[in-house]
Amino acid sequence: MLPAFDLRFSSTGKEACGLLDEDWYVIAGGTEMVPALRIGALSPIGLVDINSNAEMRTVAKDGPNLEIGALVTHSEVTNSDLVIQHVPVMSRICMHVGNARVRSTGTVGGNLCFAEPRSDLSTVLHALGASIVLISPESERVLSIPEFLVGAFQTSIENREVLQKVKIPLPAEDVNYWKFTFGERPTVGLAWILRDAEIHVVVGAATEVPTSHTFVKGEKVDLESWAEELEIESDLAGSAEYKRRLIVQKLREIGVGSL
Amino acid sequence: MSKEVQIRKDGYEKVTGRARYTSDFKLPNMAHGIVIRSERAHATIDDIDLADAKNSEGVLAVVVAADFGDLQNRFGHIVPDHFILATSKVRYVGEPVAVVVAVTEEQAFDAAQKIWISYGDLPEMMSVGESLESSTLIHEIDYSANQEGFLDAKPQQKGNIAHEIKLGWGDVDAALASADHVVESTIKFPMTYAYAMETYVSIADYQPNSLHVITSGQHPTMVREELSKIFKLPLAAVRVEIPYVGGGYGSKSYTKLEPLAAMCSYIVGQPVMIKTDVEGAISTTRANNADIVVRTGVTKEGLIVARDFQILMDSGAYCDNSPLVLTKCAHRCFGPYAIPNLRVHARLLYTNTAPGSSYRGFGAPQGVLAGELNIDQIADAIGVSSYDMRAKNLLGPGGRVLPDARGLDADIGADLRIVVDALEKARKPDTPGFKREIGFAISASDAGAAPISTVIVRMHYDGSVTLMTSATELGQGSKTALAQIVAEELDLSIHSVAVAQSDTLNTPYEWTTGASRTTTIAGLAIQRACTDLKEKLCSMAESISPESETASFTKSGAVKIGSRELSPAAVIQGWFGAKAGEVVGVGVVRKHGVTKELPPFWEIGVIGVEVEINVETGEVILEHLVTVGDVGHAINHSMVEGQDLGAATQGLGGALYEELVYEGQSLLNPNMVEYRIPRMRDLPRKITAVVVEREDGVGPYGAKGSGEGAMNPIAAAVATAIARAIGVWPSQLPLTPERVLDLIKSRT
Amino acid sequence: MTTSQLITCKVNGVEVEAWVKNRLTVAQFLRDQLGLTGTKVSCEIQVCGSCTVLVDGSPISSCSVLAYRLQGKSVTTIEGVAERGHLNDVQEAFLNNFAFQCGFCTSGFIMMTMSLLDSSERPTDEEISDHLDGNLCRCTGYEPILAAAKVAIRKRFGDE
Repeated sequence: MLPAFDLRFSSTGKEACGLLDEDWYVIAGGTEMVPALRIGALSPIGLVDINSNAEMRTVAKDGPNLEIGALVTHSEVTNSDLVIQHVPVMSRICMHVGNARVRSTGTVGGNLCFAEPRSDLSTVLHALGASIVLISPESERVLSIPEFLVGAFQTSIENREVLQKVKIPLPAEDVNYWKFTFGERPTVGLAWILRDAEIHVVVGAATEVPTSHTFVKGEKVDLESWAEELEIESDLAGSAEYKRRLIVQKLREIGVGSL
Repeated sequence: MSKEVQIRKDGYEKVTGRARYTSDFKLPNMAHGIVIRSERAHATIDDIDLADAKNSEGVLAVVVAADFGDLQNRFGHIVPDHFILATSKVRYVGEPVAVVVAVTEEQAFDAAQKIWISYGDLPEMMSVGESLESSTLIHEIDYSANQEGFLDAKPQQKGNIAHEIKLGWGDVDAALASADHVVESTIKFPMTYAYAMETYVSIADYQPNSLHVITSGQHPTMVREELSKIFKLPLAAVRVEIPYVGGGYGSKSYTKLEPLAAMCSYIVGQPVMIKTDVEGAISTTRANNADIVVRTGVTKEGLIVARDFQILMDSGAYCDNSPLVLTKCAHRCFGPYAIPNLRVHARLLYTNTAPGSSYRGFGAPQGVLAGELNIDQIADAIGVSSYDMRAKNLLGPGGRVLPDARGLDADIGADLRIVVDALEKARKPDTPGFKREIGFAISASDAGAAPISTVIVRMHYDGSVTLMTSATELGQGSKTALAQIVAEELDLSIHSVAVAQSDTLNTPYEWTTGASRTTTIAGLAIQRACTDLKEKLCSMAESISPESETASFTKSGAVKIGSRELSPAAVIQGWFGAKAGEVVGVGVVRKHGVTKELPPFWEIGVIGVEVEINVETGEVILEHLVTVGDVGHAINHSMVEGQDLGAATQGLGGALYEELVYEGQSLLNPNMVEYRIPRMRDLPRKITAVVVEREDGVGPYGAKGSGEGAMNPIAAAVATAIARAIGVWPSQLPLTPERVLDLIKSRT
Repeated sequence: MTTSQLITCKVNGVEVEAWVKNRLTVAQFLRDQLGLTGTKVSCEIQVCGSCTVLVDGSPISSCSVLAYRLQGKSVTTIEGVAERGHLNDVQEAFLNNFAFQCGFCTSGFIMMTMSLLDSSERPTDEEISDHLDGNLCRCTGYEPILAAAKVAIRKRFGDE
């Protein structure tokens, strides 16, 4: 059973900002919002439904960036010709988020705003150097992923702000992604880019927020100690120690820390 | 069997969404109840503020235990310790304390948010170890006193010990002292959740001197008995109706939500439906976890001289069916081996956790894990193969597992041979990063519960038949299997056999639907009912015959009288003198004749697995699963295989994935995201399902029970395979990737 | 302050106009308001799939989508699958392959399989398994469900 709430509708981003009040939240696909309402994790007075914001439903190439609107669903990302052409890794990972039902309903914007640590999108977007565009009644802010995702289920979004789109700089670097899943959600996710002289990695899912590091190729690294510094919690999928071990193993496999 | 069908009787309904389950029903003027559950594991209820809730829109009543008047507030078929609503204290997080009953579910939900309860904390005991050592009692009053007992269980509460069993024979200590080798194994079997996808739901309609309940349950007559006691009504006045059930697996056995729904209806004076979500379902019943230590002494050739089992089982806050689970665990742990000296000491402890109760396997998964893992450890210790270790000690057909029980009606050695051959033939080598290994285990369960069953077969005047039985279709296919038996006995098309739904108003007494008993016990009753029917038809034919002739029933379903053959329809119409009337055959089974000896049959489990272990991540996949359904006679082969695969998959859950985890007073994972059950991705790469029919059972055509056998030994088979691959024996299940990796680490 | 929305949508091909409370889920709308009880509710957290229905051809977890979202959309539930009582290929395959036992997950699996058949390209074995891995079954051990799905796919796309 869900609690009662008021409902308002907006058809543009600015309009949505205007409709947001204290204890009001935005609802897009609802794949995170509805379960949150059900367990009482969120108790809004009202929701602003933004699903008819046409401007947020598109994937477009705008100059040096690929822009994915907040309301684009995971399956739309997977099947988008533009995404497949310019940032194929996004198509690949969106194909494996949750299940087909979550993919048909859940949106990129919703995923980022809910900021569930056990997620794939944020890790890969971090590696891609993506930025988040937030609009408010008066202005617009552009934040990097680390500036946007500040903790588990915590973003730096402000009360009357709405996430409008994600911008991925082109040409996109060749990001690889691997995840280990035991239960429903990913336990550990690793995105990496093999550059000429360095290996840039982003660790996600196990950490509260995606955490990046650039390793110099050929340099010996005490990976175990490095992994100790990552902020990782134990949970039912495994202890922090187990997750660190998985990360270190994968890093070795992709060539980090070896001469 | 010639009448085996390829389409289940409940098939069309289920693939079109037309099959009705309890929550699909709406009675006129039906109200909705939302259960308010305790937030403490062990506490006094100091104050409940209901005023705001009572004044809430649409609320008909906020029911607490004090409203029950002089009606008994407890139920429990073995020990009546189970409070319908908590009275002075709560004993687990999730215990029902109150129910908000309102016109709509939303109104009940909204009012439920306005209830405030204050508690006085008491020391909580969250594990069997804690409750064994504590001087604080979870149950201050001994509800086990003056009880008659139930089947093999007659508990006597002692402190926090709900039930204790000591069984065995010979002189174990002397035998162990003089054995060539003694091997000890310690194993923890996890607390699991059956996850019937249809969570508990009951509708009750109480009227003066009559109570009608529609419920998602397994045993309509057992629920009727409890309700009759609580409301002081004669059995005839209590109607328990069970539509299709979305999974039972033993977790819906006996009585759960029905008394609560009935009390609410009694108080508000209209029908009430109470549903549960997954968390509420876990708070109603979960399966029993157990800690077991086993020591076995053997000769240097590997012959067993003694076995000693120490079992500590967790009953949760109320014992429900757990005393019987403990009993059966004690019977099933030591295996169908020749054991000259045996000691089993089993104790069931109350703890401040959700009530534990029966689940598929019924104590066997827990006991067999310990017993069979130990057998393989011995084999390793003395350098004998796993197969030889078992072959040397296995009882053959007729062997006595328990001294006063029916001899083994199975050739387990032959079943084992089939499994081992299948595993060996398909074995795969290790590859870089992956280790592969085989494991197998056996079990014999004294199943069948009680052989008490009445069945009615009604033949209509066109010769078609309606079968009336309180054996309940839970998905296991009883409706189809039982209809097939009728069709076989009377030589009818399966389409001419209708099966009535389980409903104590209409269908006759069936002890329970569980313990894999339905095909054997209800099946026997059906055969007897059909014989009765045939005799009646013959007698009717004789009485309307102008000559003085004797009639007999032919194999092709006709009544032969003199030189003529009449259809049953012609006999009935002739006898009634119109296109009207019906003939009723009744069949009864009781502890007599072929079912005098207990158990009615031994349910056999023989499972083989080949596991593949990813040595980097600890993940385990089944490369190969071999199941053997040693069922005597398969009424329906596809359904037997379906039961074996389903049972094996559920058992695999406890072996690799499933565990309810308490942190402090509450569960960490009372939902299906955090409680991980087997999924399609976990399908074994190869499945070999064998059905063996040696016609060695007392059931129809030599049938024995099916449905739990494959669940019982799978955890042991998987654990052994992993242990052999890694070289370290586990002490705790489930063997999650991390635990497997830890075992690998501990080796180096 | 609103508590309900007036929506117009198509359910199994029939136009429906209804007031739905803001808090009502699609599953509740279908089951409690329209009496279409073939769609089941189980885990309520989008993992079991027993509540699967198709909205504009895409599978959704009806327990976790709000009913007002159906405005202007077309919903297909299990009740809308058979044509005048004649089972479609997926239902036939489930029936003939014993791909169910208690039946509680069955509506969801049938709807999920139908959404798989919607693609223009034949799904690979891995795609079939990945897609259906999104639903839970506690009775069958999955193998007959996978077999039934493959039969339906062979029927639609021909033998490989």
